[in-house]
Amino acid sequence: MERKASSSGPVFPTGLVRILAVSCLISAGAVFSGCASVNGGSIHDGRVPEGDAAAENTDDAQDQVTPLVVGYDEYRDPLISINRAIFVFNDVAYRYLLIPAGTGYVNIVPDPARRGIRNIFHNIRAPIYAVNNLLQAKPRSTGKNLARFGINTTVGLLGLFDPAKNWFDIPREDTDFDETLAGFGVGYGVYLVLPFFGPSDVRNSLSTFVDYALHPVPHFTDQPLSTAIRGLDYFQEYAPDAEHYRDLHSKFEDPYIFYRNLYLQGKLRDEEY
Amino acid sequence: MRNTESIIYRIFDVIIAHPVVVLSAFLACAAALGWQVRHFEVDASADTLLMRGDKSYIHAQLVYREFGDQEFMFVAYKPLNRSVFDRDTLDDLRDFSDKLEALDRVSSARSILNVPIILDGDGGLASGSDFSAMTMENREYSPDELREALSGHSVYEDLLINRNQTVLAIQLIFDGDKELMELEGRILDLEKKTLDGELTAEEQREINRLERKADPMRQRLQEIRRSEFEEIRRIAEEHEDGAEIHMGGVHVLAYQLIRIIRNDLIVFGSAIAAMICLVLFMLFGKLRWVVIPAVCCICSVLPTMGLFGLLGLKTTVISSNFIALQLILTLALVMHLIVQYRECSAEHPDWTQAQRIKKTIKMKAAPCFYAGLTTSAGFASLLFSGIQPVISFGWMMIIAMFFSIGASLILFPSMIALFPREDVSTRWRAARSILNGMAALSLKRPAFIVLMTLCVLGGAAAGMPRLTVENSFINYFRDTTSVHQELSFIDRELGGTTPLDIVHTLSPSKDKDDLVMTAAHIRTMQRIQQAIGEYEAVGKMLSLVNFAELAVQMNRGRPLTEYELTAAYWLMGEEIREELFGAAFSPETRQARFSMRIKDSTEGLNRAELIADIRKDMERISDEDEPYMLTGLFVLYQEILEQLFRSQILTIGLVLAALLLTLLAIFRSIRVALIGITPNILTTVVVLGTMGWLDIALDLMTITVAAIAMGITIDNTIHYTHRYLGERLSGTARRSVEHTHGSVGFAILYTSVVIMTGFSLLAFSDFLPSALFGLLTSLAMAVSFAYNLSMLPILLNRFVKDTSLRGQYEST
Repeated sequence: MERKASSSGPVFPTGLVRILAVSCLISAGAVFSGCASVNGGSIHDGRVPEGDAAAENTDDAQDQVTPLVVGYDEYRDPLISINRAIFVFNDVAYRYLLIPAGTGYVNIVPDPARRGIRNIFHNIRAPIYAVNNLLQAKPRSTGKNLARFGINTTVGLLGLFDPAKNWFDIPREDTDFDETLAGFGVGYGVYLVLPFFGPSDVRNSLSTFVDYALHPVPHFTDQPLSTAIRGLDYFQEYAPDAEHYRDLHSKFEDPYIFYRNLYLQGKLRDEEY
Repeated sequence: MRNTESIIYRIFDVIIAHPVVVLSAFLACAAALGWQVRHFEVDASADTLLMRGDKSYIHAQLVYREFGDQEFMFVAYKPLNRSVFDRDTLDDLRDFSDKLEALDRVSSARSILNVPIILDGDGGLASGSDFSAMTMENREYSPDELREALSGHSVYEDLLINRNQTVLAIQLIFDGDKELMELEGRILDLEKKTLDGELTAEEQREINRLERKADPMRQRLQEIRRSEFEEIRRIAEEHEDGAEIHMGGVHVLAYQLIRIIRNDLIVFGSAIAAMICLVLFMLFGKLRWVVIPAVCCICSVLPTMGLFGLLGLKTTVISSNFIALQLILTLALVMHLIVQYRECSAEHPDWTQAQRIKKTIKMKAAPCFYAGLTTSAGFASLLFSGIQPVISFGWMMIIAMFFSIGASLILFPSMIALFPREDVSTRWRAARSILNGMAALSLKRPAFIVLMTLCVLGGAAAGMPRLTVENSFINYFRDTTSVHQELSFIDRELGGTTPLDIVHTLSPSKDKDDLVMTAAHIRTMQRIQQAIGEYEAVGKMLSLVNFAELAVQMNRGRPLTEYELTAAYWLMGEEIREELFGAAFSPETRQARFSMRIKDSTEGLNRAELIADIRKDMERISDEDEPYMLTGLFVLYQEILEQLFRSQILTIGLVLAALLLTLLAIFRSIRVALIGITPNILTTVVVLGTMGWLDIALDLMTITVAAIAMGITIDNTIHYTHRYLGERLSGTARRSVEHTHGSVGFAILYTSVVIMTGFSLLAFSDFLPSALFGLLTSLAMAVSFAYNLSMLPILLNRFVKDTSLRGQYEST
């Protein structure tokens, strides 16, 4: 059970999307945050998790269990015909552009270096975490993220290392505006496949603008350097997963449906738990 | 009839005339066969107890194959005076584990040293960390981190570390023998066809051919396992300064069973033999009456064992008593011959040795032969039990009886012929008075005897409904023995012993396109795991649920979605998928497996009830399109035990019918036959009833005790009845009883005393089934003795008419 992402988006397409976003569309500013959410904002939105529905078959009180795996049946995808076309386009782009680039990165850059790079980017995003923590009424998490930022920027050599976790036992508590909105009860709207970006939804697309505004890099650097830096951020985050895309894609008769459901179920789960 | 008889007696004439020749020839044959004893095998492995070719067995094999089961055993390591997470402990464990892993057949030694241990701070699933590198081999963990990470771990707790974190375990996984696996695979492919139809003669022949090829390989494997255990023991001793080390698991149990059965055969075999010799000497006061029975016993037991070795009949837990039984039956036959010979000597001091022997043979050849034949018939009824180990026990006893008859009827006259005539010796006074007293009692106080008998019968019968069927292999060993402590230690601390599997077929109605498994499937599995896991006797239970729990833990406590599960399933790589999921899920058959080990040492465990309860839970939780199957050794053992129990009534009925028919054939009187069967009924009821009252459960070993009780009793009855009817031809009922008590009575008394003293020794055995066998056999002997010398004469006096007797009995 290794390497299983719990990010609010689907595992690999989003990663690839982000890589793409970096290299091509940063200027558009539609950047997707790639943080794992720990928020417990619980919205039911009239949806019944499937596990509970099945429980009706055997409604013995003694057989009640806390679900380990959840499923949902409602996928709001009214734009399916457009989404499908973009999905096909993305597929070609991933295969010939992103996957080779991602595989190359993993092969060339050694693991400790990649870890360092990853730490630096996590550190840069600290304002996004801190502000959204605050918006989610979690001041303790805000404090922790600020403390981390302080420690890691100084002792951790601009975030290259993570002494906050390793020495002070303050783990990262990442989040994003999408999660904040979800916490306010905003639904994801409808499913979207964006060119290069891949699976997304209305709420996630919109929240990206807010997170973008909180990102320190655009405030301290000029274009095109700013775009290049953020491009590297997204690229390094998801490069290790690039090669899996093909593996997974080949398993399904209709990969579009699989990736869509993977994405939306993750979204719904994040809202509920 | 006359012709055959005269031929038989002429044969005996030859024997008596040329004792040396006959004796040497017989001894040579016995020695030749006896030499084959080296092929004789005690096999207590799971396989011998199971019904090969039986449907449940085939199902179990199919499940093992489908889920790629591997042989394993546990080595528990309990550090003394230091924590399990202490650096010294872990270093020593690593050293120990490395040595074990270096053993030939060991493919891996799994322990907390080399499995991934994921800490809370590792960032969960999203961190992109390489979990397979998170082992103690690759990184440092503080004792506190380990304690925290392993506490309540859904996979490792009860498997690699106990709940209190005081014991570590190494799970040794063994490589199977490729060639043997291939052969067994082909056998299984053929046997699989019996599940939906008959095999063709061709296919059956093919199975037999493959079995013949596989058998020596299995034996070799057994041998290898034995030396492996000894090697592991030796390695363990090097580490016992700092730790308590125990071995456990199904194969260890089998190894220990074989060891203790072999050990008992030698230790108690010789002790009983010595005790029997001593008692014989005390009874008869002459060395010859020790030597002759001893030689007869040896010459019947050794060739029998040799023949079994040649035929490849393996002694199992069920049939391991055959030696003791054969000893009893041979001794009884010889005892009757001795007593008869001494009677002749006393009555005709002037006769030559040859005359005495001739008379003895003339008097006793027929009843001895009949007794042997009847006993064989009794055991032959076991052949119809339909249970392989019991059937082979039946065959073994039939063969054993023929050797016993041969040894006593040929060896006895030829040996005694070598000795000088015996002067009339004084008989044991106490014996005489006991027998006289019993004769007097049955003649003068028949009502009292009848009443007593009915009381005993009633009391014992009342105990029979209390009989339970329970088989705990661990409890076969006396709880003070180190074997019991070792096995129950692992049983208690590391998740049980006997494997039980539930194979649950995923409901197609809960399927969704693209998904390996849906949330609904997992939900059902969670329910199953929760319900079954609640039983006290259920030890470690592993299924997909454990892995889902682990994934959720790594996902910071949040559930996975069913799509994430599928993505993870496909992305983890074929090898890891096979290793992690192979044993828990078969994508081809859409079956999930819950494998657990049952804690054999659980106090008051009712195995049948546990299985019934688990079935009930499964019925309640699964939908109609979710068939399930219980399998594994636990179920197979329980099934064979229940089948044994169910077939008890049939078997006992068949034994009685066989005995009745043989008695009818011998005595040609339905009355005598019916009377002759009564001691058997009483003995059986008393033995079973006593077991009921004393809460001794019928298990795989004690379940044959009823048949054995009958086999022992019938001898006495036939000898007594034969003599009594002979006496009645020329005398009154009263004289007949007195004469029979004064002749055959001695033989019965002596046999009972010898066997009861000898077999009571078994009570000291550390192998409880042997101890019970010894005591229950003694009880059967006592009851048989008392009944045959008190109640039987009353019935014979009452129901055998002089007139009817003459015509019928003269012909025999």
